[in-house]
Amino acid sequence: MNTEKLERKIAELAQGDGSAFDYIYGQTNRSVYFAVLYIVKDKMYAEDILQETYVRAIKNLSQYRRGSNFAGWLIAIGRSIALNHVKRASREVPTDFDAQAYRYGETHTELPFIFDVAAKVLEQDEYEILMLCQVAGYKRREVADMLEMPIGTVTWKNNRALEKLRQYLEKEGANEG
Amino acid sequence: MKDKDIKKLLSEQSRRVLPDAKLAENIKAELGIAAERGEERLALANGGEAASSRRKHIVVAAICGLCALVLALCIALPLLLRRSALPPLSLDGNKFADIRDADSFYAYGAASVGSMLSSRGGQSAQAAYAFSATDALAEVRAAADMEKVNGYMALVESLLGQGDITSASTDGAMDYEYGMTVSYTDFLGDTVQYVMYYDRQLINSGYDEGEKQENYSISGVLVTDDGQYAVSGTYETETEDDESESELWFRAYFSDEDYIEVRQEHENESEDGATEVEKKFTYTVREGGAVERTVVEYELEQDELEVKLSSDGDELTFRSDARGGENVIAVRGRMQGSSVSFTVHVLQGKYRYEFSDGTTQEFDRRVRAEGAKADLKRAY
Repeated sequence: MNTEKLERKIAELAQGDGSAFDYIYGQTNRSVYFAVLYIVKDKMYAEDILQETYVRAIKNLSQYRRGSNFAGWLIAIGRSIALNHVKRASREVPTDFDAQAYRYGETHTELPFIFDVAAKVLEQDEYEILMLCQVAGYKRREVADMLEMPIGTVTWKNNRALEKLRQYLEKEGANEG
Repeated sequence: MKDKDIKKLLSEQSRRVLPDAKLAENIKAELGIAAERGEERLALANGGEAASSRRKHIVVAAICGLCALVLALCIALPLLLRRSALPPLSLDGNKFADIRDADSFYAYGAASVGSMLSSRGGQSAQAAYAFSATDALAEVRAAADMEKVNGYMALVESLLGQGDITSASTDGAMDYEYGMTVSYTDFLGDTVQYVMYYDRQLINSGYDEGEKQENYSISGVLVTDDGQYAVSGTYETETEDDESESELWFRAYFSDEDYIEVRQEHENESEDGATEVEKKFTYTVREGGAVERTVVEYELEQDELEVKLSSDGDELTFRSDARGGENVIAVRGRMQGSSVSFTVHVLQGKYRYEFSDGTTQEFDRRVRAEGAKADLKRAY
């Protein structure tokens, strides 16, 4: 991630240049999205929260301290909204339809099995790193920049996440066998 | 199960998990950011500029994609016709195999991205729809799909064409220190050439089997038959513990923010004492905030070399074939969940897609022969 250019675009957006949005969104949306997805475990909700995160952040762009980690700031906002969503959802009494959506064909937001497993067995940072490296296609160096971590840490956590997933799947396979 | 299998599982399912590309537009709409900037001037690498309508670009981009595919097919067909006696492509035709260092990587990047940029220039070409039946064509029910395919046809052509992608050093120009001419043979047997002028920035150097290897980044300009594009690239390899990871990409901008990028995925992974090497290329087309990624791989099927494109859940495999004394490009795969197969005939001035139900679709063919490049060179 080109931090200098990102900061420049943020400044342009703050000054009313809407064309800067595409660059900012392109550079940051995946890390925010996976941070949110880990919490809500539902693609549709994660997308809604991602949208809300950007709208809220950009409306309050003056609160961002220039030169600090913008992606980190967005992630913090996204996580906050996601946690509130989960808290609110836990208080709601689901209808039969909602609770048994899988029976009624409500599968458009259902995540593939391996992603459910990943959210279940991985720590949040392991999950985010794995998703950014293996799903979003970022290089470890880019992820290291994005999450402000040493590349060695990203490599270690990525490998650790793969190992955990592999062990879980092998165990599941053995149990089924 | 190996880590590699986990990676593959995750990667294969990415389309179902990644956020919808339209989300950015929704956010902009909610924030009141205008999605359309309308007619604007695009800065070119050489300091010039060109008019561009963003909306038109987006629409045309899809059309161009399809057109490029058709074009590639059209190009491929005539060549195949001429060369009906040619043996099937063998492993020797795998142009990825020759990419071993920074020079060859940048040459490949310039040739392949250049071919796609040239195809983009042809996006405005008229597409003639000659469906002999109604729209019962399962294969072409979504014209946008074919447009997308068409965008990669020039690339397919460069990969299935006879001969290697070659490069030669030339003098620098346009205030750049280095120059490189890259060329390949298209399906009609014509030579396509592009010129790249660039500066280098050394990243590191070392020796590989006694030969000095230099990793370097570049920035410069790529000159094709229809324009000049700012380019940049990085060729860098990093090693950590038992894993080697490379950062190999080449990018050409067709506006300030929009670009076509090729990225080589080349990971050496040691596991259980064995080392596996995977090499494939991912092309990213970014335009107006929308990003489209396509993975290009060579596959060997029954001793014949095929080019496989995968994008957003769709997969198409391209293979040269001889039918009734005519050389064609046979395409098969899946688009939007349905099996498709069609044949591309490369004719003078046009490509003709022929679908399994006998219907056809034609696109103008842009000839990008050596002469075009010669004219450009004279312009400097």
